[in-house]
Amino acid sequence: MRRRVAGLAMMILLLVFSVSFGGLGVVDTSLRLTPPSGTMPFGTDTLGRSLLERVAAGTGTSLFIGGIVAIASFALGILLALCCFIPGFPRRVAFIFADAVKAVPSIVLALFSASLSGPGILSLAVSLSLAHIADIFRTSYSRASAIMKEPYIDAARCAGVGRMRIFITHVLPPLLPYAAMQSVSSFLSAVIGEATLSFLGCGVPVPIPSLGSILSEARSVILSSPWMMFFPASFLLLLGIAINLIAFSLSDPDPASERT
Amino acid sequence: MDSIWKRLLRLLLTMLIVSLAVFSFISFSSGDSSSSVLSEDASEEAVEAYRKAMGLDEPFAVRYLSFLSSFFSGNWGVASDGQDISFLVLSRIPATLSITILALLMSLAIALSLAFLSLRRHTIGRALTTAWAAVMMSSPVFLIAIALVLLLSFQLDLFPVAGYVPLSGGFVRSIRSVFLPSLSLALLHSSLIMLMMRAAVESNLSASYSMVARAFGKGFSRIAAIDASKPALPLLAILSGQSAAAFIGGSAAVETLFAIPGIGSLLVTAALRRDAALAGTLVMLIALSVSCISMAAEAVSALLDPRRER
Repeated sequence: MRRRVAGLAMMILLLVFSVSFGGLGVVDTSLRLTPPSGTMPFGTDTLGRSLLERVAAGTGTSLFIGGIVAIASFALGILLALCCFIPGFPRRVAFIFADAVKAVPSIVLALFSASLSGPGILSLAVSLSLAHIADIFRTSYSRASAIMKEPYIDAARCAGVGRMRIFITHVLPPLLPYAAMQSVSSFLSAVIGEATLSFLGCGVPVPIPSLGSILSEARSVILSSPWMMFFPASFLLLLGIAINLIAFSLSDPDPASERT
Repeated sequence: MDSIWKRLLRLLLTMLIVSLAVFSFISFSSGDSSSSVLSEDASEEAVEAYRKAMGLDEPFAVRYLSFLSSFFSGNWGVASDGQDISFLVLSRIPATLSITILALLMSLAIALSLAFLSLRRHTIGRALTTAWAAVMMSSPVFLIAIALVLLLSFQLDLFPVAGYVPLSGGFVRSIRSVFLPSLSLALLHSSLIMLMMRAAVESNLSASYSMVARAFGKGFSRIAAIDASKPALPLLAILSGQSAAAFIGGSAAVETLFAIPGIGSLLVTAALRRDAALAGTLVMLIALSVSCISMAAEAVSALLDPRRER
């Protein structure tokens, strides 16, 4: 519980940081690679832009993509799992999709799907969420099919409760804690995936600041300008630790049913 | 357990789906490989001629089907820069394979030793290893790699900063060239393996057979190393399989960072060049090897666990 509060507090602080300092930075080549000082607290990058603004905006990008991926995989994963109980739904197709997504490392899939419909934050988020939708779909489905065998579902059905109502009142609530836990870890892996793809040059398009692309820029000047590596790396790490604090605190939502 | 034929059919289907997905992602995105292969100021005619030579002017279905037929006939065609794909892929396998093997060995060594050292609750060692694992799992692997390069290459000058020496260039030099990439992958993956194994061994330690062993006078470390670890071995096999599968193709960032000509860096090249044939081939091969690895891991874990054989 304390961990969760700490993690959430860190996330909120990072969000506040990114909103209050974030910006594209002004290109001023006369100021390029100046070390941290009073006017430029984090120093400047290779184009003379304020690193504080770029790191803050990059943190925002990470939070945004992570948030979209977490919400999308949570909602779509559960939705897909529940849809599989509707007669006539192409359940096999859903499972084949989940199998196929699992068969390649998610970063590989994202590498290519990010190029669909041109580079952009949204297409990146969609491609990063594919693997997690499949993950949450799989576990939610197996839990839901265990629940569907319970006698109280039969009882509800005999009492004339409709399918929709059974889903909402009996099946959905016990699925939520697990899916929430998985979606927190999908948040982390999306943040890491975005940073990695941007580091490789296949992530968010150039004008949008991203911690990954700042880090890849910093790589060439690492010995002369270590601050360019230090600040984005620390914020990426802080973000990761914040998410992990939340994830660890959620990792045991219901110890009694651990073995199902 | 499904029958082997059903599994093979599923594998084939999976390969088709991932290749179709990657092929269409690249084909329907803006621009094609002509813009990255030809120079910026290439004439319209040159672009047209290139597109015609590579078959880029054909409709999507024709291109995908001809790609599939060439893949399954074993003649994989040429990449966008004119290199033979089968040669290109074959030349990239040794580097990725040696990183995969070394990284797997390292992760197992690190994970198991840390797991056993921190088995006792409420000790400093346990708190430290847990924190270490949390930090490792919170950071992208390229960040770990950069930190290792700064420490072990720049400061201590133990390993080369980048580059790959094939095994023919001497065993020690070759291992040295893949040491840092493997270590950075291992630091990440060992954390997960460590946490899972520690939890498994710990729960086995409170099982009745561990209590019996203690009643027979066996010491704590012996029970932990033998009686409580043996039932955790199937889990270890599955975890190792997952890590090994992730190293193939998933090590793109590390391979690119260390300028190592492996499968992962080839994938990045294919994505940046929008080379559909190369990307499709690679993704099919990755799906194939990932499935093979996970099947092997499952088989090993079933062998280690007599209860699973019905």
